[in-house]
Amino acid sequence: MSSPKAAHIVSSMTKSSKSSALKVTSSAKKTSKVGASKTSKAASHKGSKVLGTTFDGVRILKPKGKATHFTTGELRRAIAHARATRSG
Amino acid sequence: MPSPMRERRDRDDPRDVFINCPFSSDYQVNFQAIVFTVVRSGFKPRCALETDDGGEIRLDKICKIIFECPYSVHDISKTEPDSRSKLPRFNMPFELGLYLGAKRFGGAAHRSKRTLIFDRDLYRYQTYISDIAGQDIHSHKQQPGRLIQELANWLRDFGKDPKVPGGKAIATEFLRFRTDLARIAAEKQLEQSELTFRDLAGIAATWVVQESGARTA
Repeated sequence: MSSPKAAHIVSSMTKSSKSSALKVTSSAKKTSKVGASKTSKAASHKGSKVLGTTFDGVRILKPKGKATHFTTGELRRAIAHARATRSG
Repeated sequence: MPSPMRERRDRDDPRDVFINCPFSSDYQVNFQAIVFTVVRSGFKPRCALETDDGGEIRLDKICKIIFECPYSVHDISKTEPDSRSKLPRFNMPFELGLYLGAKRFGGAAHRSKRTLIFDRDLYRYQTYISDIAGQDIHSHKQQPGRLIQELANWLRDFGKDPKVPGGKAIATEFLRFRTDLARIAAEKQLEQSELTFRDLAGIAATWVVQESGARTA
């Protein structure tokens, strides 16, 4: 890693790393309400967005990619409806 | 100054789990059980089916996911020939080999990759893939409840998160999830078999959050 080209690659990766870290920090400030559960104040966990926190304190991570057949709202409503039907 | 490889590793998500399980209908419940347990244990499920980009070469897609996942779960128990072709499928052992290769030859950044391998019975693999002797091999006996318990215990050990519930509790939650899953699919006039991996992961994560919230209310 002594050539100027190699040094440039290392430098650009460092910058890229810093910018991605900034993105994570800014997204961590956002909080979102999901379902009826309490949401995490730190909306990220080691680079992943947290969808919510369970009653026992486990942080549920947002999956990679959006659902194919459901919008976020449809997903919430369908799950709420199915749970309501089950509990009668 | 840390090496570029080290920096790249630091930026990777340390809770991504590569799921290498048959996608056939006879393994649908096992697959759902693995996705659910990974989500419930505070990890992120990853799978070759997560993108639907026909332009992307499948092997490239798998290698990219393997690169990004510090954990992996492999179910190599399907050894029967396909009913139509009369030939066995080799994708599971192949992807297991890729993952072990990444761990072995990927340098320091991948040396800490962790692998959990499932077969039907504990020592059955020795008759068809004896080279993996010494790996972390567990038996699920084709029982989703047992699979969930083994996987949850394994993830809890590596996740170092004492808040994650035990496997039996997660298996009980999974039964409720399965009951609701058919209804959730029906809301969009879909069969369970028509749900994509991204649907399943999204439903599992949102369901766990909602169910948990309901229990605390």
